[in-house]
Amino acid sequence: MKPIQIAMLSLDHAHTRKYFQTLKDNRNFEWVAVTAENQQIKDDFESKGYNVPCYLDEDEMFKNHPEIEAVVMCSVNRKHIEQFRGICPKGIHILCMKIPTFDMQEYDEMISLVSEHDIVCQVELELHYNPVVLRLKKLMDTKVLGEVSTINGTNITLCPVYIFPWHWHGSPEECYGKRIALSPGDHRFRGGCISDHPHVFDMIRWLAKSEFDFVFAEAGPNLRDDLEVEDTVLVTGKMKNGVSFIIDPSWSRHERKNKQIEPGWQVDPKRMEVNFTVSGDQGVLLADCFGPNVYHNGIPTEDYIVHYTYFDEWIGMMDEFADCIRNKKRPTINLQWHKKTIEAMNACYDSISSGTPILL
Amino acid sequence: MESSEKVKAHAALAQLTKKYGVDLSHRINLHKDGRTARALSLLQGWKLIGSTLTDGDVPLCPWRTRRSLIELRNVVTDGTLENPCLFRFSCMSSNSDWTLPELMYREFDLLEFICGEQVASVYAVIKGNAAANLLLKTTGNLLCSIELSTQLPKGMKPLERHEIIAQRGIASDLVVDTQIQQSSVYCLTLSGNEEFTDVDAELFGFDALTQEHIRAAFEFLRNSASKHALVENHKRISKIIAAAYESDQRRIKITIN
Repeated sequence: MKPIQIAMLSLDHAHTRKYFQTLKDNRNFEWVAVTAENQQIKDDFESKGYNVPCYLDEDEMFKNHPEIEAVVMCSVNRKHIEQFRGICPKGIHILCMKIPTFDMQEYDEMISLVSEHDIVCQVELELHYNPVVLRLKKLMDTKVLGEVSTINGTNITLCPVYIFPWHWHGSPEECYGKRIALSPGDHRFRGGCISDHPHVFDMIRWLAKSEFDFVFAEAGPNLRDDLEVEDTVLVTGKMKNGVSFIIDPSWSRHERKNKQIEPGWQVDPKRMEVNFTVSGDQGVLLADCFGPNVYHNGIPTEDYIVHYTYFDEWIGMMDEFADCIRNKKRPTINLQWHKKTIEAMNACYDSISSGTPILL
Repeated sequence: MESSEKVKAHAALAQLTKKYGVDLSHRINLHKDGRTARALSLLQGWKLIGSTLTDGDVPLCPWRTRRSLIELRNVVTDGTLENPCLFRFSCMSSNSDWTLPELMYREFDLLEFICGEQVASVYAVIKGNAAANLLLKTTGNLLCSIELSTQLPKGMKPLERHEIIAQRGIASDLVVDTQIQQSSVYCLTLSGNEEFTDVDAELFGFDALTQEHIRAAFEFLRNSASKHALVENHKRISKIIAAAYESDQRRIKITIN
């Protein structure tokens, strides 16, 4: 396969660093350029020694690199629509971060742009390429549990907002696109942990093979007093096929307010968890998507911590992206598929606001 | 419970009361089918769901004697965890041992026991007698999820998780980075594998449920002033269970008065 000439559009997203090694290693891609939002981010990237040209201006990058065939769109959620409008007419393929937009008019415009210009647009939901998830899906497809009653999932992490340059995760406008109060009288706004964790909503749909019927969500008190977005939320409801669920997308693991991801960042032993519990009339299935791990209490804090051993999801995801571009295929996680996940996440916000379940 | 086991349980309770000099002026009954007007029936509370309580009935919450759960409560009440926000509870069992209302009874009581607040509202999604997912808020606005299932295979011990997340600190009765409880002893032999978790040397050899029941009965006899509180607790927990079913049926959040 002729390598795809790819650029990274912005370095703002929390997953940005996952692509550095992937784009270097994957022979289906040739990493030709990146853009950064400001000089500080540019300097930080250049200090890592990847030797890839970094621009502060998107137009300049595209002008200097007409060979660019695809981009990884790693910008803040609010900017995605403008970037779609600029890129799609160029015929450049897009790997979009996990939230294209929460504005459903913008979302439909994105779908139209992708269709009109016949490009590949894949959404970054890397759990589909996680080996534990593949096993879980395989087991469920063989109906090992019989008729499934409930699928409960967690996607709980630290809060990313203190890490450079991810502060936008704490901004209602940058993350949710606008400033909407979480509920009447609440000092918090949409754009927190729900907005950061589409994966678990997506997985429930995929595993249940059904769409959301209704959701009921509640926000708990915030763990972090200085946030203006929600950081603890629980969601329950039913899928259209009757399978019930509980989803926990909270930022409920503690962190120190370090500016970089570095040893000592995490406070809790386990900084992140994506677990599934599936109950059916033939039994119960439990899955931890990230492990087995190792454990230590070394420097700098001597806290006992879970040291993760994962992160190969990006390999499968990028392989699919390349295959779709070169062989004119539609990605499994395309904008149309993902739209129902975004709608469910919006429904959770509506449920928190109204105190009632929301039908989808 | 087999009748021989019942005899052993009564004998163990008598031995404890004798050892610690607790007065046994009442005739004691530990089993629902042994309730009589003359006996003090120290019963597992969930076995009285839907029954009219008699004067002699004492609905016990045996899990409150479990050291791990007491210590979970302690880290909340003594300030080891600062400002709890989120409680994540789960209990899965076999339908040969537990029904959903019985699991609700247990977990609702545990929530109030551990967090020290009463349940203020409940939203429930229930699948027959197979599974229930519940979101609860307490009088102090703490948020709690309770995941219940009766779909474990027959013969399996319940799988539980009780996790507390606070502004400062987390606590759980599960070992970090595990999905099920660990045992104290693993005996792996050519004849098969066995696991043991013994937590009470004075009641050594009883299964966990019976051991906790005997211990709870003993603690009641040492402090019989708690009867009124246990009866009132039973009524309120029963009310929350009814509210959960109403929530599921009407698909609304129910406020507990």
